[in-house]
Amino acid sequence: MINKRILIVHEDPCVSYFLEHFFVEPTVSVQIESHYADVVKAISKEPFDVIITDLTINGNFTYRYLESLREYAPATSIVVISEIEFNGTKDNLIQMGANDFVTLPLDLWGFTKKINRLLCA
Amino acid sequence: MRIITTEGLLFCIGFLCFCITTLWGVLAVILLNKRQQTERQKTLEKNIVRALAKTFDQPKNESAANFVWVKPYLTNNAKLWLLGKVLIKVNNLLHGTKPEAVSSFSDAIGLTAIIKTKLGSTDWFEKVMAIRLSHELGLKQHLPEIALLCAHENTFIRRESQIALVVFLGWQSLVLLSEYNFPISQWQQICIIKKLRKYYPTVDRASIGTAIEANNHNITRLLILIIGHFSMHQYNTYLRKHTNSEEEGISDNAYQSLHKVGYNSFDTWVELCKRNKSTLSKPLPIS
Repeated sequence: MINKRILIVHEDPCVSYFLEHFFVEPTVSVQIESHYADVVKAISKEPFDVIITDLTINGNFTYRYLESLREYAPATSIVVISEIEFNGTKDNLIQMGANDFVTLPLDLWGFTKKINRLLCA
Repeated sequence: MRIITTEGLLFCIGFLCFCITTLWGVLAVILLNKRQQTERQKTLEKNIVRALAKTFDQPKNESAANFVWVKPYLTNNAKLWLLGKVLIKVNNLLHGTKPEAVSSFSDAIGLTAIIKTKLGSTDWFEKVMAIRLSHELGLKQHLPEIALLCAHENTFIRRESQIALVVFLGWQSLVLLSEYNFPISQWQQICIIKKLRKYYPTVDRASIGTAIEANNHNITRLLILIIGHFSMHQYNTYLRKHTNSEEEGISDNAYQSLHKVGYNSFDTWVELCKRNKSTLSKPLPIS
């Protein structure tokens, strides 16, 4: 029976499909979205345990997107992944409600551990 | 004056309607084709990414028989470049975890051998794409063929091979680049710095010292930018020397790099004044 849900949001489907492979299990379901409107629809329908998202997506502004994500899903753990990192990006994102910020390229094993920890929390 | 009859008018209207309908029809077909092409591309990306992800779960590579579905994509050039594009994306995503994953996959599906034959192609575009795929996918075995193309008469081939040289040889490639008498474009400079940051974050002082000593004006700007990006304050004498350069942009880059290595504009200006009184007339650089 599926009891944990992950939402992967990235403009590039390659990234989403790749990450999906490492999280799909009999007890975990993964949904992939790439546009802000679809993300809002998915969250409103049923809550997720973890949202893995790119910093910027189509349909909303970078930081505003994260704020609205937090508003729509107050109890969900949000992990932001991005290739871009400026000074203080992580602190800003955590202040805005993200649980963690990971830069690409990924340390895949460390990243999966992190997500599994959030799923178990 | 000629009068248009009712039949003539009806014919004109009919002809106009026919033209508009045909135009709409052609547009609809183009849009449908484009949509189908995008769907096919997405499916291909999905299949490749999933196949690659599976190789992570298994300690050994799967046999070539498991990748039969990829074969049709290796025969057509357009599909081949698409396959390469997807592999580059995955490689960029995973570089930190398993850098050899994509090159092993490329070997298993036979892409590496095809890229090698494309390196010998007479078509410059095929050659450039083959060089690009070689360095982006980490196919170091192609270095001997690529090294021969670094002084090629075609600008695109030459520039891509010089970037490949940086990817494969790291800081030592700067010594080789200082021996070529070809200008290095701004785009190339950005690529080289990005590659050095990604693959060789630790500075090799001996190589950069040799490149500086070569005194080749073609790579002066590149060296100035590298010194700034990697904050190599021990080379500030080299940067200060070029703040007086007459060549377009070099002086600006030297000032920017000086700022990056820790010299503020006032310190730079004072030092310049001490060395050469004439620089007093020069306005303060904006930092």
